[in-house]
Amino acid sequence: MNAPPTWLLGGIRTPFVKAGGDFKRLPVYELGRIAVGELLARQEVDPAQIDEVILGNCAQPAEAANVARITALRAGIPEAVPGFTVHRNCASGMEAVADAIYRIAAGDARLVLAGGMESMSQIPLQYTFEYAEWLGGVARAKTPLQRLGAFARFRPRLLAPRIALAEGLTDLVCGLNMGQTAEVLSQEFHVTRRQQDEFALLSHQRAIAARERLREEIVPVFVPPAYEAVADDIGPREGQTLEALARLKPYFDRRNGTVTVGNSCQVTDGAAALLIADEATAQRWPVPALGRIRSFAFAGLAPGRMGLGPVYAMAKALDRAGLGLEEMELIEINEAFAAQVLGCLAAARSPDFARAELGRDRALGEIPLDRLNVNGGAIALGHPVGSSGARLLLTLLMEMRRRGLKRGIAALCVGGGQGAAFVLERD
Amino acid sequence: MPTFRVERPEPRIVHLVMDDPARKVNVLDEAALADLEAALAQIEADRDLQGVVLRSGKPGSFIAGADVDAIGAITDREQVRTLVRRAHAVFNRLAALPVPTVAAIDGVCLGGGTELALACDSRIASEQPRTQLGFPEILLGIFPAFGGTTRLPRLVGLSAALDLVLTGRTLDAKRAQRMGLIARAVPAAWLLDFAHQRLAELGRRPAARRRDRFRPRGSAAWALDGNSLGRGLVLNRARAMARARGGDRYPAPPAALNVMERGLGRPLEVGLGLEAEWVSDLVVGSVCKNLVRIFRLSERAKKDPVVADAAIQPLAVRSMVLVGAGVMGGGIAELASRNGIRVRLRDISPPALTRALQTVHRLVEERGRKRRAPARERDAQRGMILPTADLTGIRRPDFAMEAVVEDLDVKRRVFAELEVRMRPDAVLATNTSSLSVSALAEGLEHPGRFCGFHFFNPVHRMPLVEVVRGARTSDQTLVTAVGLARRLGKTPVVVTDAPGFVVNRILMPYLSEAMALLEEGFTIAGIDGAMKRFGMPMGPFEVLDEVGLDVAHKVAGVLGKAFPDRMAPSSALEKLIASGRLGRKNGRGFYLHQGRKRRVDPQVRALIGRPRPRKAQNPETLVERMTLAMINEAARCLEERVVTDAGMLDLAMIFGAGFPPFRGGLLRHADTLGLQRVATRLNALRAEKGERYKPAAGLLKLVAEGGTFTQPPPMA
Repeated sequence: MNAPPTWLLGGIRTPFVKAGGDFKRLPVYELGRIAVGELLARQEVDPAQIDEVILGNCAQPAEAANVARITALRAGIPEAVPGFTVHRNCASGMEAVADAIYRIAAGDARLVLAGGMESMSQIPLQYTFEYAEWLGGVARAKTPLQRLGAFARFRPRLLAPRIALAEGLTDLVCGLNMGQTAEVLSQEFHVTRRQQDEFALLSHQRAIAARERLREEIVPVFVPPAYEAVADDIGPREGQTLEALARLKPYFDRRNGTVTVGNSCQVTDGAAALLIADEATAQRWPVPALGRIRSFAFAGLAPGRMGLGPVYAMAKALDRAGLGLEEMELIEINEAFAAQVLGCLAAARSPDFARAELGRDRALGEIPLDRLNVNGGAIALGHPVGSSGARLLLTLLMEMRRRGLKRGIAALCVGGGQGAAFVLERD
Repeated sequence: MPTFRVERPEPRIVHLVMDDPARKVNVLDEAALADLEAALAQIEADRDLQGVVLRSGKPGSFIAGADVDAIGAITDREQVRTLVRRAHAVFNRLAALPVPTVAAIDGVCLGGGTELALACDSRIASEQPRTQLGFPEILLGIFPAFGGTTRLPRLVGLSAALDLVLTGRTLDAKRAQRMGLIARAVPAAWLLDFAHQRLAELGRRPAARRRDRFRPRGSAAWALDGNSLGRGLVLNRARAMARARGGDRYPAPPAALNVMERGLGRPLEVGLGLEAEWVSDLVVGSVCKNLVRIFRLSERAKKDPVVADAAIQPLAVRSMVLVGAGVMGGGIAELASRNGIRVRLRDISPPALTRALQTVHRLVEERGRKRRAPARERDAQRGMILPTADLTGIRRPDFAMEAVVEDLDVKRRVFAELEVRMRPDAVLATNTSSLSVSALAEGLEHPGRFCGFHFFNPVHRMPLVEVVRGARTSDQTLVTAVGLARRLGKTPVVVTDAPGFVVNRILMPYLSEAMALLEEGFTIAGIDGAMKRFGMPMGPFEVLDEVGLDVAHKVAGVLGKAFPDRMAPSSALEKLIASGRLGRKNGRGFYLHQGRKRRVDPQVRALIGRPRPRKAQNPETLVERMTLAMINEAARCLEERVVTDAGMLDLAMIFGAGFPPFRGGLLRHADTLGLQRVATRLNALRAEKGERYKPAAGLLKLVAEGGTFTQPPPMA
C-alpha cells in the first residue's frame, strides 16, 4: 500500500547491552519504561494526547501479559490510553510502526507511541510439558497410595530445562536455527569466511567511530542497584582485528561452517521508542519532525533463507514508493549475520535473482558499502530482536538529518522467512 | 437531631447508628454519650430483638474518637472521673444487651470509637485502606480510658494490647483481624451483610460464649500471653521500652502500664475503676495540655487556609522538575515519587545522579521492607523518577524544586534556565536554607510564581517544611506550595523571607550559646547532656556534627551578617574546621565518630584555646542560657512577623528542631517559665556577658502588658 504521509517525530533508545551484562536484571518493561519515559520527556509530550501505544517484543515475559500496556503505564502514560504488544520476530519494532501507520491512515489515531524492546537476558529456562504433567499428577493424587504412585513416575530427565532463547532462535518449519540459515546463504552466494569477517570488522570500526553520533539517539541508563550510568552501546570493540575474528571457531557448523559469533549479531538487551504522527500533528509539533515514512512492506520467503528477506521487502517497498534503490542515499540492513547481509547485497545486484525471485526484469540494484550501515550494525551494536526494527528507523533518520539527505531505506530479515523494509524521507 | 439513632432494617434486627448532624466526623463527646444512653434505653425496651449492629451514618468514616478540645479544656480531676465513669456505664449497658451485638466498621475508628466497638460482642471491618483502627490517645498524653485499656488485653492478649496502646499506631482491617481486634475483614460493599451474618452466628451460641475473647494462638503466643510469668516479662519489657523512648517526661505510658498490670485477671469493673483513677491525673496535667495544643496546631498547619482569599485553591502537581541531585535531592525525589508525583531529576553531574538514585533506592527498600510492599510497588515508585543531565522534560511539569549548592549565582542561573522553559503557571521553588528568597527571585520575569520550600534533613524523617513567602510571591504560588507540602505528608509552616527563616534563625543563637559555654570552660558532654535531659533529641554539639561544621559555619555567616549584634560567627568553629573537623561526614567534629558510636574528641578543648574545663558545671545554668537565647530570638521573629503566630513558631521548632513536645513548644515553655523571669534573667546576663542578651522589644512589651506569648493552658 501507499501510505499517506505519516511522520516520525522523534525517538530515543537505551544503549544496547550484551545479554548477561549490565541490563541483565532489568525486565523488558523496565527497559521499555526508560525509553518511553525519556521520549515523552524529551519531546515534552502531554502523554494524554497519545492515541495508542504499540510496542514490539518477542520473548514476552510471563508476568507481564501484554507487556506494552505494562510499559506504558509504568512510563506515566495515562490509563485511558490503550496499548498492545506486537510480535513479528525481528521485525517487531517495525511492525509496531506499521501498525501505527495503519491506524493513522484509517483516521483512528493522530499520535502513536511505537517502538520495540527486548531483554534477551531475562528469557527464562522452562520446564518441559512432561514435567508439568508429572507435577499435575502429584497435585491430583489424593490418597497416600496415589501419591506414592505419582512420585514413583518421576524420572530425572523430567528436570531437563527447555532453553527458550535457543528454541526461539530455531525455526520449527525448516528445523534450522538462525545461524544455520546464514550458513545456507553463505553457500548459495559463495560468501567466504574472510568476507564475513571483514564485514564484521567494518561494523565494529564504524560503530566505534560513531560513538559520539550515536549518543544523540541514546538515553543513559542508571542501572539499579548501583545506578552507574550506562551511556553507550556495549557491543562495539575498540581494538577489533581481523586476526582475532579469524581465530574464532564456526559456531553453528563446527566442521564446515563460516558463521562465527564474531560475524554474527550479538545477543542483546535494549529498547527503542518512537513517536509516530499524522501530517497535521507533525505540522504543529513544537520541534521539527525527524522524517516521513514514504512506504513500507513486509515480504515472505522460505524460512531456511530468511536472511534474504530484506531484498524481497526492499523491492516491494521501493515499488510502492515508486523509487529505485539507486535513489536511496543511505541504507540500513540489519546485520543478523555478515553472511546474510553480504548475501542480500549479492542477490540485489543479480539480474537472475531479480527475474527468478522478485518477478522483475532488472536487478534491484547495487548496495554500495559506503551507503550501508554507516554507523555500524547489529554485529557491533547488538540485536535485541524486538527492538532492532525501531532502532534502524531511528538511526537512519538521525544520520539522514546529520548529512542533510532526503531518502533512505531500512530493512531487516525476519526469522521464520520474512523481510521488512521502510522507505524514509526528509525534506 | 440526636447523634445516635436506632434503625430497623429487618423486623428483628436494629442498627445503632452514630451520625453527628453537627460535624463531618463522629466524635464521642458528652452530648453523644447522652444520646447513646437514650438510644440504648430504646433498644433495651425492645423485647423482640435478635441482634444489634453498631455502625456509622457517615460514609467512609466510623468514629474519630473522643472530643480533643474537651480533653484540652477540662481542668478538674473530679469532672474527668465523672465523665469517664459515665462512659463506662453507657458502654457497659451496650455490652450487657441480652442480644448479640456487632460493630460494623468502615473508615477511621480511633480512640473512643474503638472503645465503643470493643463493648460490642464482635467486630467486623471493611478492607478499604481508609479503615484504620487504633488508640492514638498516648500521643495526646493520656491512654484509652473509656474501657479500652481494660477490654483490649481481654480481646487481643496483653502484648498486642500494650503495642497498640503504647505506640498509638493504627491498623488496617487485615492487620486488625490478624491481631484479633476484629473477627473478620470484609469488602466494604458487603459490610452490613456480613454484620447480619455475624449476628446470626453469635445468636446460635449460648449467651455466655457470645463475646469474642483472647485465645493464645500457638505456643509462642501462650508463652507470652497465656501465663502470668510471660505476662510479667512482657510488662517489664514494655516498661523498659517506654522509659527508653520518653524517659520520665511522659507520664501516660507508665500510667497505662499500671492500669493494665493491676487490672490483669481481675473483674472488668476493677480495670475500669483504675482507668478512671489514673487517667484523670493525666488529663489535667500539663503534658496532656501541651500535646493537645500541638495536635491542634498541626491540624491547623495541615488544613487551614494560608491566604485571606478562600477562592484560591492549590494547583494540581502531577509532575515536578527537581534540580540538584545532592543529599536533599535524593530525599525529595523519593518523597515525591512515593506520593505519586513524577520527577524529572536534573543534575549536570552524572555521578551526582547516581548517588541520588542510590539514596532513593535505599529509602524505597527500607520503607518497602517495613511495610512489606511488593517489589512491583517499589519498582513502580522508582520508575517515576527520570534522571537527566540536560534541560529536557521541563516544559510539562507543574512544579520546579531547586536543591543545588547554596550559592546565589548558581541558583539564579538554574532558575533563569527553568523559567524560560517551564509553563507560565508552574511554580518555582528553592530549597535554600540560608539565602534570601526575594534575592533569588530577582531577574525572574514572573517573580510571583517563586517561593521557598525549605525541607529539613533527612527529608524522609523530618515532618516540617518552611514555605517561604518572598517579597513578591503570589497568593496562588503560596497556596500551591503549601498544598504540595501537605500532599507530601509534611507539615507546612508559612514564613516570611527573613534570614534563616524561623528554625535556623532560632537555632543559631542556641548553637552560638553552646559554643560560648564551651569556650567558658563547660564541657561538650555536660552541655549536650543538659539539653538532652531538657528533652532535646540531640545536644547542640551533636547537632553541629550531624549538620556538618562547614555547613553550620556557612549558615552562621549569613545570619551573622544579618544580625551582627548577636550572631557574630564563632572563631572557635573556624579553628575546628581549619583542623579538618567537619562533623560526622568525615568522622571528626566535636565527637570522634566510629560507625554509630561516638566519643568526645579530647583535642577540641585545646584547639579552641581553653585547655582546662572549669569545675562547676551546673546543668540548670546551661539549659537556662541556651533556652533564653532561643526564646529571645523567637520573640524577635514574632515581632518581625516572620511567622503568623506563636503557635506556628512553636510547631516549627518542634517539627524542625526537635524541641521537646511535652513542653508544648518554645514560647509555651517561655510562658511556663514566666516572661517576667525571662526578661530579668536576660537583663542579668546582658550585664554580665554582653549585648547579645538584650531582651527583645516584643518580649519587654509583653512583660509590661503582663501578657503571654501563647494562650495559657487551662489549669486546675
